[in-house]
Amino acid sequence: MNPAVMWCAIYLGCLLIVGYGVAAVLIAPKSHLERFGVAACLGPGITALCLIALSMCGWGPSRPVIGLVTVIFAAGGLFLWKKQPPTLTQPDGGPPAPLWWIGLCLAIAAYGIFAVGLDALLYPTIEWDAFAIWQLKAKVLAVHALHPRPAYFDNVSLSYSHLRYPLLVPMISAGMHAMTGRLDDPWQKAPFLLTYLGLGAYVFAAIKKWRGPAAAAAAVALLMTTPVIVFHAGSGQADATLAAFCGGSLICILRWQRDGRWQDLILATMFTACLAWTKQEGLVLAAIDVAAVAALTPHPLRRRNLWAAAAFALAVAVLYLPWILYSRNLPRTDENYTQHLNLTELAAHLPRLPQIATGMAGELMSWVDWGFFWWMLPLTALLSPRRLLERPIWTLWILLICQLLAYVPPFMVAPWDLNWLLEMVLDRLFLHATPAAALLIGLQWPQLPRPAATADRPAPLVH
Amino acid sequence: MLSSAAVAISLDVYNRFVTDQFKQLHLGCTQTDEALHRASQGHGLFLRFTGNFRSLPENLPCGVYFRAVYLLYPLPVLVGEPSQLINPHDGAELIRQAGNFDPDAAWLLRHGVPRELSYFCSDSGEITFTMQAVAPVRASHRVQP
Repeated sequence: MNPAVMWCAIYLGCLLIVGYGVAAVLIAPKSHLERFGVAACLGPGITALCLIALSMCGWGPSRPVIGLVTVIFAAGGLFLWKKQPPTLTQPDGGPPAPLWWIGLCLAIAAYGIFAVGLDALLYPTIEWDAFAIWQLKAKVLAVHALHPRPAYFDNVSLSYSHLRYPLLVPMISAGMHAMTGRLDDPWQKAPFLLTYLGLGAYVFAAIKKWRGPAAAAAAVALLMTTPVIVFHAGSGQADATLAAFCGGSLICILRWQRDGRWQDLILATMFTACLAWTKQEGLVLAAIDVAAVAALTPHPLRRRNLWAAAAFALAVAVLYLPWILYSRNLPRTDENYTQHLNLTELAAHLPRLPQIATGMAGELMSWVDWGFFWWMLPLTALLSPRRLLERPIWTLWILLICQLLAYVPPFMVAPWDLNWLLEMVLDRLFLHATPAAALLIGLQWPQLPRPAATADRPAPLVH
Repeated sequence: MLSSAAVAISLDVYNRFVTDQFKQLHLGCTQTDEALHRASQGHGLFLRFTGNFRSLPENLPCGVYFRAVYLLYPLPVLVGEPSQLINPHDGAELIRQAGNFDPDAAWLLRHGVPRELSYFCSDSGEITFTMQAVAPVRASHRVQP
């Protein structure tokens, strides 16, 4: 066996073990698919955060360091898992689906997995942003520890690679370089196949619990074959991983709002911290998550919820603080949107709004980029309009609209040609909102009348 | 739902397996990588872009520079003074930011880039590149891509 393949497999195993260490404690037993989803999404994220923390202490990613992180999470997970009180497994929220439907949706999703697998495992890194930004940083992190600060971060001739971008995705790939012992290997994108699979599994498990397997299979088949996600998931960029974290955080927040379990809020904190560490856009999505926990719960002004929202915001801020401290002295050579996002500049650029609105609407309707994915949102809403009154559904609509509109102000003040910018980045930005959209499609999915045998099952969505 | 999935999968199959789009991308990438490895020979690399690149619709200078930095890391790759901010929007801007820098052999050696890869774009849009080694023996050959 090729040693690089073996080390690649071991690294993917380590990422999963770390993820399972978290999932075993925070996810109810017997939810195997859900546990896999959380493990596959959070495993790479948590591992990368640990590697970044150790790298900031002077220990760059290496086989012993990755092994140590894995052992700690495996032992911790096992120890706490045994102490976990038995909990009831929640039944599916809808009738069982016909096998042919599940098979068909699985076959559709399998094509997505096949295509992303090809990109992640066989093809070289050819997407510009992938090699110019994310995978270049991965090589830097694999070669140098973050302390003392590598010369890369002060090298303004590499400004195009966005010196101040957060490091979670590069560190996931850097771990692979460290494990295989090579910088030129093609396996650096393999972990992103894991997050893609994790997103699919977690969204499926969540919708299945709310609406049953038929709706879950349909929504996940749509999500996993959307052209933009298939293109980006295995390319070595950060956007599909950001979408996976975003989806995970939304599911946990919705569950926290429904059940009030602290485990869900802890998971949401981890997902949201990973969001912030993945891309600058993740900070905006993290802020939306915090606002959702604070304001969109059933009783926002109750003391318990106020404490929860404050603890959530504080924990995310604390987890992100090391990067704020580390990056404060890095040369600022990028667009620096935060400096331009003030009322004066926004007002001065108001005439850009129609162009931005037209561009966004055109992107949402682009069948080349999305198939009919975005069309399914209003369609499923029209087919079951009463569901719009259910809390998780209107909550998701609010979050989705916030996620989509969050990019309008930066577009207004962007120092680039707007047409060029919209064409370059809109598909990627909307990719971040696809998990929210897929959850909505699944929750709004019209159901056939239930067979008599299952008609008395509880409908867990209604409060 | 099925029509959306069918459109998405058909498009991907068409782009991936029916047209030459993917093959051309991979081929172009492989050829650039080979040229960069040949030019570098395990050493740092200086890239120079001369001629009429402004007339080209392709963003070749940026593509080559970004690719070279990624591919050859941790070896240094330069297009100008290391202190020069490079954050180009397109190839013409990269050339402007690099400032038509024409370093001598001593400068190249001092900055750890003893190899040079020069791209030239003629008025008709034809691109040629030249590889040079500054040390120990200066050798040169012209290649038609």
